[in-house]
Amino acid sequence: MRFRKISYLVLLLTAFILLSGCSSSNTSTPIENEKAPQTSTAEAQPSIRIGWQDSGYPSPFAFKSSGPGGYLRNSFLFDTLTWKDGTGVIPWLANSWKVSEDGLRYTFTLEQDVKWHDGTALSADDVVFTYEYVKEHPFPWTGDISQIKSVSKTGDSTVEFQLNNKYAPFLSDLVGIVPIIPKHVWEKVSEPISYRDPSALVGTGPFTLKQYDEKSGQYWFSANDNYFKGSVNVKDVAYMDAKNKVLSLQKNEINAASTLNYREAEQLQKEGFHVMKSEPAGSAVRVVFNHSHPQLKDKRLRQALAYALDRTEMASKIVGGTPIPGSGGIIPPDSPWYNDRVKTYEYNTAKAEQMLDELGYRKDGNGVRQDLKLSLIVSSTSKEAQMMKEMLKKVGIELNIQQVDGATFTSAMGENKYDMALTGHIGLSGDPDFLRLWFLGKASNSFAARGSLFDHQQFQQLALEQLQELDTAKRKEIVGEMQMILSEELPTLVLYHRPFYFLYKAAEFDRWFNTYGGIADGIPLWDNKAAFIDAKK
Amino acid sequence: MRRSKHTVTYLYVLFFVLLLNFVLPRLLPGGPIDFLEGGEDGPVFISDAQKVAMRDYYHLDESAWMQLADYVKGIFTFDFGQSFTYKMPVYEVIMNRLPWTLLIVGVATVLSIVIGIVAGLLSAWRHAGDHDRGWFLSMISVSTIPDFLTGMLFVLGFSVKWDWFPLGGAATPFYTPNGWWDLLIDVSWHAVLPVVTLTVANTASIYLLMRNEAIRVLREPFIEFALAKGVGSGTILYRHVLRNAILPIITMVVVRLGGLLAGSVLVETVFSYPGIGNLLQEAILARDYPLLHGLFVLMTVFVLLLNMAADRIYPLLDPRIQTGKQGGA
Repeated sequence: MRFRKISYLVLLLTAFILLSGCSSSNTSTPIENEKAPQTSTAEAQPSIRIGWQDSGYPSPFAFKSSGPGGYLRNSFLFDTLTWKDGTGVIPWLANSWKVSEDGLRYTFTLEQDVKWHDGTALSADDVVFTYEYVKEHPFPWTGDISQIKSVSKTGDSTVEFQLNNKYAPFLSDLVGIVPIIPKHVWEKVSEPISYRDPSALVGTGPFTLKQYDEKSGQYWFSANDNYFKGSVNVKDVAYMDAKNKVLSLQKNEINAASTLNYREAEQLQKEGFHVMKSEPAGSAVRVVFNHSHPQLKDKRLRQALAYALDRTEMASKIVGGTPIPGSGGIIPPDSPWYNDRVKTYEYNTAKAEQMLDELGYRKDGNGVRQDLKLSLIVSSTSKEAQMMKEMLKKVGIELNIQQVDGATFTSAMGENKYDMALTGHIGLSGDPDFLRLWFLGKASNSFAARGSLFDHQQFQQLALEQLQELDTAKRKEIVGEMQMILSEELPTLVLYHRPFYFLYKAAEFDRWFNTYGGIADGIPLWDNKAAFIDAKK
Repeated sequence: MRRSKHTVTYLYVLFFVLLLNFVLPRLLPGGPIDFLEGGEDGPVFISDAQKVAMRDYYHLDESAWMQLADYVKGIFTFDFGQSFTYKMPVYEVIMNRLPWTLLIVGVATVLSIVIGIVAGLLSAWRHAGDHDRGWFLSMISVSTIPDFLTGMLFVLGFSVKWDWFPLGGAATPFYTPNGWWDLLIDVSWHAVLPVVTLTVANTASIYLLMRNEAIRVLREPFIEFALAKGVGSGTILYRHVLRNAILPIITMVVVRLGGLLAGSVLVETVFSYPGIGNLLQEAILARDYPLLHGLFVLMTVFVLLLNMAADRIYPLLDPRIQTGKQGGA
């Protein structure tokens, strides 16, 4: 009898488990209650489906800042005063602007008849409010608010920005990044990060969010029919987290995706996909040297390491396609800011050996320089690190690779507990002001060797000079000089620049383009909302 | 008396585990802010203002004691705070995923128990025969294949080569089902491969234990007696062998279940299934302390409850256990 009781219990438990699984499967949150009767599945699918991992709730304060996905998702819903297309900075919410003689005052005239998604009209007050609000509640992407002294309304649709200093990247990297948010929504919100009311997504952008499911990274944007800038030329755009992009593309789960892998791009091109390469490349893999390391603080050793590494070989083996070995001056060769006179450090083991000998690191009987043992930390399995190890072995240097996870990596860099670190990231084709942020200890970001200054008087001076130089030609000259110093001193060694490849079907949508210098602060991707808009004449 | 003593033991265990839950994540090198600012392709720079705001918002500027107090308070109110990575309440993040894990783990467990027990009994019945050897060898070989490999093979075969099952996920993306029936089909269709993978991975051990236990019981004199009486083979197996051999099986299932909640991480990763295992991995990498607390507490409670259930079930299955304890007390 007892045994029977137990078996009922087990049965009950099973039923419960099964039921709980079924009943809860409807956890995705429909944000707008659009009850369109569906006739067939094919029709219900969004027309453009892009593969990218989950980037968080796309409100201006809750999106994930690890990776450009969150910022881009947010940019579909919200607009900025300026934006970028294939030619550079273009007017967006502001249809024109004036700069004062001294370069400290910008006056923007806003577009007429811009409506928030809830029907309210955009006003100059919203712009003023936005910049006050983000001072207190930081916007989770870039945009150096501290450059702004004050923002004030000077007319119904004019706003004036007063700056602390002249700031060259103002139009592209500040008002081109911070989204304008509606005052009537956010003035009541004191905890913007956890704010999840549907009004958190009320922007002026070309899309509204129909559905977001955080566990599968699905975003479903539908076109905003009343967009001020023109008509939106697609019905909807969707994103989903595809673990294996190639397979998902082949199975038509997604129909557009970007990859860093040239071989994947090549393969899918053969299968009928169109491939677009990011130009300029905008992304790099580089070695960061610890300048307080007793041996690495000597620039001759850093140079010797540069000669010992065959970076062209590395790029062509790992990435494929046309290899772009790293520029000594960090800015990639295909960027408009590139200085072609920088030192390139052609692969030359004889020279490397000679320099190492001169530095006093003698080889022992086994061809190993016993006094020179270096370690390299990496945050993921890295072919670059393996190749470096092999290449350095040829000149008698023993390289010890330490693999740690992301957070450990970052904290090791923050505490200067490393010899060399290997890191890869984007943003090198945007405004060259990033060189100042990296090397003047402004960036808290680990990649910039946080907190530690690049101790070079002349470089520091130039970095501040370029920031205030509003004449592009002159600024380019200064940035060129900065690159010369960087290539001589090698505070960091770029191994190679790697382009992203965008895979898509031209028959489904063919308006994709490369944004000049990358979207916003230099994101070398294709999710630029300008591609979806037929501008009004 | 005995029952309260038992409960006290459980409370002690719970207390220590909960304390460990707080301490262990903080022993990992690096913190959540390091993760937030360190992701590949991350923003070029995070300003100090942003950093201070983050620390402030997540209470990371508070002392460890204050954080501990918040944590303890959270355990009682079931409010573990905001997840750093998801920027929403931990409770919601977990609840969005828990049912999915329970679905695949639950179904797979039931399946592997049923298959394991039946196969084990039959195998033992045919002991020292070709059938038994066949079963035995195939189970042994299957149990040596790690589950992620089986999973990958399934994906390559059934999803990529033949287009029978989806590549992954728990439901078809952007699909609005017509009614609950459609939904059920869609969800089941996505759950098939993960469930089969988990079942394959878990059946062998239950089978082996069942078989060995059953062989032991079959050698007992009372079986010989039953056989001599002319009792049918089905009755012998069910009434005499199974009931005598079930205890170690229950123990094993309980231990396994506890581990499965988190241990399905590999399978969930292979099938990009939105479950607890996947979430735990993400939370560890991101040093998402609040989410880690929530997950660990959930798992602790789950394992303790299972153990408690086992403690209650044993005496029902074998009255000797209860009397033995009472005699000793």
